Amino acid sequence: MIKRQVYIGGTNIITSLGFTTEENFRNILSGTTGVKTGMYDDLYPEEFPASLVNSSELLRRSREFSIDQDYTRFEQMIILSIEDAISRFHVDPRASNTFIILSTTKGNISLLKNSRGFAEDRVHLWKSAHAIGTYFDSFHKPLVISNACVSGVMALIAAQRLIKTDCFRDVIVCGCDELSEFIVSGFQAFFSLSKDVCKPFDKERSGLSLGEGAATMILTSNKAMFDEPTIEITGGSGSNDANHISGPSRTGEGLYIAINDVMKGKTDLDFISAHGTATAYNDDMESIAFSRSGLSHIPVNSYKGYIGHTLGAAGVIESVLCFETMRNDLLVKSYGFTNPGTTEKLEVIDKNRAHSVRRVLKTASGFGGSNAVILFEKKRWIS
Amino acid sequence: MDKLIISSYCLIRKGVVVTPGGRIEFGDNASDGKFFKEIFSYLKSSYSKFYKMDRLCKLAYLASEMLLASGSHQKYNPDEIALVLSNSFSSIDSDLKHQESIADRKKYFPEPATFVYTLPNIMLGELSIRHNLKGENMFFVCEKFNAYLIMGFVNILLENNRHKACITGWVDYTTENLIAALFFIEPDKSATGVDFDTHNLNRIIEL
Repeated sequence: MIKRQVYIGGTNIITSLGFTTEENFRNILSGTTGVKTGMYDDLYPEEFPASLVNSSELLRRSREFSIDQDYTRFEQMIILSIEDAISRFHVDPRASNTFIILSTTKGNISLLKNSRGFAEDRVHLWKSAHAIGTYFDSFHKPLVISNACVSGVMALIAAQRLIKTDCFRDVIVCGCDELSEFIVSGFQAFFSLSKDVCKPFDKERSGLSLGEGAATMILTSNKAMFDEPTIEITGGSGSNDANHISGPSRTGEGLYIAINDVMKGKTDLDFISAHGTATAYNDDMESIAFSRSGLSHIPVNSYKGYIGHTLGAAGVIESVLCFETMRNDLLVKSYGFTNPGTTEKLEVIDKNRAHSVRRVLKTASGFGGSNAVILFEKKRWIS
Repeated sequence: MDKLIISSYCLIRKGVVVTPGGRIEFGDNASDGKFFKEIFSYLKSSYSKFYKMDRLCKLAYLASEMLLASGSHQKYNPDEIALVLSNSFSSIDSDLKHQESIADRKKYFPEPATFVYTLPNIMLGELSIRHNLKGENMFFVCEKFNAYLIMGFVNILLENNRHKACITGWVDYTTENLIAALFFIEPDKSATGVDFDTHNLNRIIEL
């Protein structure tokens, strides 16, 4: 069977911290958080902290691409994200060996409240995917993966496998979720939102912060596109805790299984980008799973303090940020962390520092008991 | 790798359940709630979590009970059985219920027990808990059942890592229509089953 290497080409991130990967990474390195407490009346009747994409800038950019009328705000984020990534690393969506995978939890769900002139069926994820496919004139209809908070990592795993087995040469993975009253009210009902900016892994953590955004990662087996060594996705695996639909496993069982499947008992990593939602249970669960995997000594962070939990986008956004830390050989501070407060000790990164970053594990866990893990590696090329 | 086969399947449509063992008619006049309860009694199930589930999960649960009735899946370790499911309407039934609870700010009553079911992959979580499955979960949303996608993806999954078997298929629920088609895919060792190919997937879902 053919086994291709899977390289990361262009990327984009759209969040409260900016509309490009560079802008987001620069703001993160300067210690800026996009999570702001405010009264967002269209999202919830009370004040709460959230990381929101600048709507007027989104509209301005959407007008540039003439997508301000016929596409929803959710779709605009996806299109702008993919357009920016393609402009940096050219792949042709119209080609038969290119595939688009979208990861999202709720897509156009805000249309349930107000259809804003769109047809009733636009709320369905596949319909939205067709609209994106039509925009890019893609040969294949984009595929939607919806696995709650692990959607983004599962989409990258799916893409990696499709390229590795030569089903496609190029896969464009875009994760996106838009914050809506639907989502905010649900998390509020769970009492899982922090009153202030979330504090992953900290003793004082008291819940998560919600965010929205999009991110794109273009994966390819086309090595000729690169002048110098780039970063590869070399492994990925998923699992289920088989324990509870809305709470993480107390033993970290599922996450441990997925990590073990990817790492095969090895512990040679430079960095772990954890899920780190800042709920008491999630962060404890992760500390237990990392400890069981022998990874407690590996520097770890959560990006949630900078941009909140962006649900279906999170796995892709955070993977792009991992890609940047590897390109720049930097370990990035875990925003909101001061005092250790997890069941098992973790090596949480408390300030930015230069460090060789060659092997990175990205993990995610979420509702439904699902877990997903992906491995990024910077290899030396033998010419 | 051994050739993969569909060693078992369960198809549920309005009023009817089809498995390799035969066809059971329940009458298509009953409401979905009554229909689900009838299957539940037929199974002589006492699984109390059933009552808490939304209708999409109930449907998936009932199909999985029929699919795995023989218990032969227990020859695999829990982390060796993957779940790859798909549908077109995601979790729309629970979505509408949650939306209704927040439609009026003067009567605002979002409930966690409803909200948790507004993610379609929760049904994979429910099946994982019920049958102690710790393998990978993948959930696709497509306009129609795509046998080609399912076949390709499951083949890659079972070729490439720890997974030895997979429960795959299509479970879709709206108040107008319902369908569950679950397939158990494993290597051909028992030789009882049909080839895992698009023809058989499409044939069984139309039974």
